[in-house]
Formats: sequence, C-alpha cells, structure tokens
Amino acid sequence: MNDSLLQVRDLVVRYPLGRPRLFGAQREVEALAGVSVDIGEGGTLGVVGESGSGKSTLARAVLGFARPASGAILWRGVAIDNSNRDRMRRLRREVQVVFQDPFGSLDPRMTAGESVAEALEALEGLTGPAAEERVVAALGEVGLDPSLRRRYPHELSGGQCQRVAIARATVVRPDLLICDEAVSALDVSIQAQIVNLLRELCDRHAMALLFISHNLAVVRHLCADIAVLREGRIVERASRETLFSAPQDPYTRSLLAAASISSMRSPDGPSMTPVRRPR
Amino acid sequence: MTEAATTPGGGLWTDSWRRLRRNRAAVAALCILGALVVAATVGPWFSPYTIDHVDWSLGALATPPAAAHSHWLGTDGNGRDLFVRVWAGTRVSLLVALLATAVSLAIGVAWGATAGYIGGRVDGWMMRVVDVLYALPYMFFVIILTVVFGRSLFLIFVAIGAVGWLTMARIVRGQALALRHREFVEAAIALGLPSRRIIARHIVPNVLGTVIVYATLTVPQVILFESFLSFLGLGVQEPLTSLGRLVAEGALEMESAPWLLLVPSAVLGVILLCLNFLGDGLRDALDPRQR
Amino acid sequence: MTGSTLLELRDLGVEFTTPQGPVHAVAGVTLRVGAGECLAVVGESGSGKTQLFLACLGLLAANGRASGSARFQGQELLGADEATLNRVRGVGLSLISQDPMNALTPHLRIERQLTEGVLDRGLMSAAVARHRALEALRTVGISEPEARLRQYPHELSGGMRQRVAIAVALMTSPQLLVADEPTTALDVTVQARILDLLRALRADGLAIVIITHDLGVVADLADRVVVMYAGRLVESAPAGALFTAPAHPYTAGLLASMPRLSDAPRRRLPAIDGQPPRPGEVVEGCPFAPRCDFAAETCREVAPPLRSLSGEREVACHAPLQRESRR
Repeated sequence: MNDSLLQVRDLVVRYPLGRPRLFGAQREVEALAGVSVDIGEGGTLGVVGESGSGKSTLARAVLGFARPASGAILWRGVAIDNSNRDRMRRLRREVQVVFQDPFGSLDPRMTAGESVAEALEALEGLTGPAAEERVVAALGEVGLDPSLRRRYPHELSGGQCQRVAIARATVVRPDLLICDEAVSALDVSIQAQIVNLLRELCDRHAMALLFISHNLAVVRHLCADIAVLREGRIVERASRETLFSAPQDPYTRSLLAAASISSMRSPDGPSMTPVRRPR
Repeated sequence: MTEAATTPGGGLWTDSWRRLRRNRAAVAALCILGALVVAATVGPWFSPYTIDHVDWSLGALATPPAAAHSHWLGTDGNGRDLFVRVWAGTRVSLLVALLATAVSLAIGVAWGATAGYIGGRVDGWMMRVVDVLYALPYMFFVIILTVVFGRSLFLIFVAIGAVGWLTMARIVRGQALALRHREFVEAAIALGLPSRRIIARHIVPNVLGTVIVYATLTVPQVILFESFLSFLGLGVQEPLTSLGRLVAEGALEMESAPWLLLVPSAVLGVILLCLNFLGDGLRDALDPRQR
Repeated sequence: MTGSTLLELRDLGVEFTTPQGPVHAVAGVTLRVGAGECLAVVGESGSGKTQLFLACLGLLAANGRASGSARFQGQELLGADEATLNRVRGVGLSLISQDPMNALTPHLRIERQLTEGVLDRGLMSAAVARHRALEALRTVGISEPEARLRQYPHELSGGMRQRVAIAVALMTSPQLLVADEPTTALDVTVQARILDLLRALRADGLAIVIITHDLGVVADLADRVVVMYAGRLVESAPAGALFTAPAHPYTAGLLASMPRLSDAPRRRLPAIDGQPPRPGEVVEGCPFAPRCDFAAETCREVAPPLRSLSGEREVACHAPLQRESRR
C-alpha cells in the first residue's frame, strides 16, 4: 500500500437549512453522514453519485470549504485544521481543484495567463519573467497555444477554458488533483480530450486524482478505485474491475443498469478501423 | 497538439469601449457632456464680464438676453451677467458632483465589497452601521458640520460624500454576496489567497460595472442635493454660484425674468439627461457576457 | 413508421445579423419527420440544432432570419403570421426547451403553468383544463397529481420539473414533440426514466424529435438519427445503421470518443482533436476537414454536398466511411 496522502475518517458534514432562528435549534441537513476514503500517492479514486449524494460536499470538505461536524480529514497523516493559516497554505499548494463550470471557474475580468499566473504568485510567490515562463509552459502542457494567454474566458471555448483551469491547478504541481464534475459541462467530443489530458498529466507528474462525477463510464476510464455515494454514505467501494463486473450493492447495480441503458447498446460498436473506399 | 487562437482578441476595456461606441445615444450624451465641460471652462473667457460684476449701465436690473450689451443671456436681479454665471455654476456643480461621487464610491465600494464577501456576523454589523447612518437626520448632520467647520466647498464634498456612500455600499454588498459563491472566487480561495486580495482582485473588478453605472446615476442626485443645500443657504456662498443656486434664484423671479430660470434649468436638465443615457450605455457596454 | 409527413424542412437556413457581419447558424438542412416517428438530432454546441427548430416556430431572436421552407402538415411556417404560428405552436408542434430547472416560471403554481396555455387561447374551459392537467401529470408518471398542482416549481426535483415541462407540452395534444436536451441536466437514473416516458409516449403515437449532444441517449429511442456539425446536416441514417456503421468521420469519431461501460478499459480515449468552428465562422470546404483523420485536398476546398447512400442514408462527405468487410 503506497503512502497514504489523504485519509477521510467518518466525516460528517451538515448544512444549515432555512434561516437562522432566534429560538430553537437550527434545522440542518446532513450532506455527509460518516464517509471514509483513502487515497495513496499517485492513486486514483472516483467518487460517483447522483445529485444530493454529497459528492461535491466531500470535495469541499477536503479543500477546507465546509467545516466537518465530526470525523477527521488527514493530509499526510496530519489533521486538516481550517484555523491554522500556515498549515492551510501548505495544503493549498499540495491539493488543487478543477471545478465543473469552465466559464464560471475563471475570473471573467482576468486573462487566461493572469489566472494561471495568480496561482504561481499565491502558492509559490513567483512573479515576473520567471512566472511568465512557467505560465507559457503550463498552457503548452494542457495543449493551448501560448498566444491564448491574453484571451479572456468569454473569448475561449468551454474546452479551452477548462484547459486553462487545469493549467492553473497543475502549474504548482500539486500532489492531489480534485476534479469536481470537471468534464460534465463539456461537449461530448471535448470530454474525451480533457479526460485524456487529465490522465496524461496525472501519469506524467505522479499526481493523485480524486475524480467526482455522475458519469460512470468516464470514472471507469480514469480511476482505479471507485466509491459509490448515496445520500451522504458510501454504499460500496471497490476497485474498478470488481465494481463493474460484480457490484455488490443494489444501488450500485441500479446505477450501472441505468448507465448502460443510456449508453449505446450496439453489441460490437462501430468498427474501430473504418476503411475508406475511394469513390 | 496545440489549439491556436481563432478570434482576434482585445482587452476587456477595448471591448467595452467598442460596444459603447455603438450605442448612439450614449455617444451623443458623451459628446454633449464634453461640449458642456469645454463651454464651462472656456466660455467665460469670451465674455467681458465676471460673475460678480454688477452692471449699472443698464436701464433696469434683470435685463433679458440681448446681444446689444454683450449680456447674451441677460442679467439677473443684481445686474450680474447670466452667461458667465451659468458656466461658473456648471463648473461648481460638476466639480462637487464628481468629487463627492468619487468619495462615496471609494468608501462605499470598500465597505460593501468587504461586508458582502466576508458575510456572516461581520456583514451584519457593517450593514447595521449603514442602516443607522441612513436613519440619521441628514440635514441635522450637515448643519452641525457647517456650524463647526464653517462653510466651504470642501465641506460640501464631505457632507454629500459621507451620505452618498451608504447606498453604494448596499448595492455593492449585494453584488459581492452573489459573487462570493461563484466558482472563480472559490477557485481563488482554493489558491490560498488572503481575503483582502480576493476582494481587491476578484470582487471589486467584477462589481465595477454596476458601480460605474450607479455612479453616473449618483452624479445627478448629488447635483440636485447640492442645489437643495444651496437653496437652504448651506451650500456654496456668494459670489460663487452653482446650477442649483441659479435655479433657486431663478424660480423666485420666474414671472418677471423667466430666462433666469430657463437657462440654468436647461443646462441642468441636459446634464442629467446625458448622464442617464451614458449610465445606460455603460451598463450594456460593461457586461462581459454581451458580445 | 412512414405515415403522413408531419414536419418537412427543405433547405432551411438560419442567419443572424450581428455588428460583426452575418452569422450563419444553420445552412441548408433538409429533413422530414413522419407521424409516430422518433427522430434524433445530434450535434454539439454551435451545431445549430436548436436554432433549426426555433426557426420553425418563429422563435428566433430579433436579428435572426430563416430561409428555405418548413412545412408542418403542409402549412408553411417560415414567414407565416403570428395567428398561423399560434395555431401550430403547442397545438401541432410542441417545443420543450433546454434546462428544466428554468423552464417553469418560479412564481406560478404548477396548475397555472399547465393550464395557462390552453385557457389563454380559449381551447377549453377551466374545469376541463384542470382535468386535462391531472391526466397529463399522470401520463408523465407524477405521483399524487392533485397535490402537485398546488406546488411551486422549486418544491419539485429536477426530474419532476422535467416531467412537468413535458406535461405542459402535452396539454394541447400535439402531434409532434420537440424535446431539446431533455435529459442533459438530470441524473442518470432520472434520465433513464425520462427516456422511458418518451418511449411510452411514442408508443401512444406521438412523433418526437429529440435534440441532444449525447448519442448514448438516443440509441434505444430513435428511429432515425441526423447528425449536425457547424450548422450543416452531415449524416442521416436509421439509428441502428448509424451506430454500427457510421459513414461520416465525425459521427465515427463521436461514437469512438464516448467511454462506454461495455468497452474494455483503454489507455487513451480516441478523441477528436481540435474543436468545432464557432457559430458563423466561415469555412471553406468541409467544416470538419481540420479535425478529420481522412481529410484530403478536395475536402478543404469543396464543401461536400449531401448524397444518398443505400439503406435510406445520406451523408455529406467526399469519402464516406465504409465498414470493413470481413469475409
């Protein structure tokens, strides 16, 4: 078992519901009701679930956006403590995130290059020509021409924006990359490109990946281990091979069944090597 | 495999400027305002009179406009040339309006952006301060200031700015609250940026659109407010004048010397109209989502 | 399946006038939908698939102009006056827009949303309308319809809102339902149920056009599939044939790039490089040529016309793919 990077133990996160009341307890909804996951160095964990399952909450909790009601989140064996500024800063350097909405996750008033440079400045304190070099390299690594760094998000396509977001997240070489529905808002043909890109980056830089999605097929492609979340609880956790060939939990089975209906049924799919006959 | 740029770029501001240029009403408004500013600055040079020169040579005081004695817009009840006074008044009104708006902008944006971004109890307290200040009888406050510090142009800026920022703060706070939950702000937090950086770098530039629009709508309000103060005798003092004062004085002589009311009112009306059109045009131009 | 033709589009084009010049969102699309048939229109963002149907109902933005012909049951829709269009809208042809989250008016109760269309047009009395509304809700599989009528949209889940949107479309008993991305914003289990619903409606005789970017969604539902790219129709085929032997390289690429549960895990998804041209970007030759693995000189110079292939298929490609025959 590789060195454990992230350990989540019996995490419980509650959100307040409704307005704060003067008398009586605040009503709350339990987004996560005792979740435990592990990710090792270079590991890939997919978290699948439907809306309301709490999968995004898990990402937010690891990033320090949601305060746990109970349970622990350990990074390299040390508990993540929101109040310790220094510790959080170090954590930020090692854990980065790519969000769902490619246009929304970039500041509309900053160019692509500025967005990526901001990461360098905030996390490594790097500015000036050295930073510029890193920005260009980062954009190149995600498949974007360096001239695009002067574009604003609304001048880029969804796929390009998401690449910028990935560049921003990976320019500091984090140890763990969290992808919260990172390909769900993209066109189908672009999804494949971005999935390939993520795979490539994680392999090349030995980054661990926490991939959150409702799309089982994509998760299967990217992640070696998968956890299925339902209403705040993990109902099944298994390796890729086991989960898809022999799912134990009935909920997992229903998810797989629904996903199979939605994907093509053709028994052998299109021929992988279409041959063009001259006309 | 790299993706090259497929469309010509341009900064966000050039983009906005281009969009503003297409809005004919806004462009016209901008030109007219520009012309008024130029006129207000150089106009008086063409006239032989000053703002406080009392012309005894005329048959009667308060003469109507006539080219004969170079009183192109006539004189007021004290024999002073209206042409020169109108431009002097325009200068003062615009100056007060711009400076007071700038002050209220600076305070209001900082206050509102911080309150909206931080949220929670801090937000609550900061906005309660705004609520309390709103509730204070404004006139009372201005009168006390006047008594303590004496009357001066500077005081008027402070007084108006000190009140103008309240609404700006409320508006900016609302925007900041909405922005706080946008993903790019969360991304910035995930980068470990301290709050003040996030507010300065991400919140404020994104509320700038609304702020600028609201500022162009505040300027008319300030001008009117200043005239109200002048009307009460708390504004600019003689021989300095403002559009508001001129309108107030003109209203008193409405029946016998209508030009005294019409001329400054027309100038004031044109300024207000132009600012409104400009504000509208700016709002459309500054929205980055409209292509 | 080949009953009377309900909707027939001939050489339909949509152009928008913008300060930067004319933008051709759709160029020369010809297709037909028969009674009881299910047609899937597949394309990515910018392919023009939504604008195509908005044009039919006269719902284009103010700067949009449609050309060509769109006939619903023989009645020409393009350029028709409001009265004629209103007779078709909702009554003959119902359109469900993208995004069920926002399709319903937030401050109106469900009952009002359902009955508004028929009552305003005086198509039936209030009592009959309410009865129909209950029936529609039951048809779309919503439990406790009486209780639902009193609720507001925000009290319903995404899947339920989509069902209500479908119910609203059904109130006027249209013959053709155009559903724009009906499953995109929904969870996979809910998607499956909405598809079941559409299938049931089709079994009852409703013709459906389903617009989507997700090929997987249409596999079980559609009789025919048309694929759009950069405003043009690039392939048209019966659903089965399209999936087993796509003729256009774009379709083949799309099918190959979608990860499927039935696949063996691979190192790399075969993705189509590059991105689709922006709406209105003028392209010489075939719009897919820059991304096509099989592009030749002709492809970059001459735009391929739509040609017929055997088996009721059409494709706009200079060199359509042939299935490798293993004999």
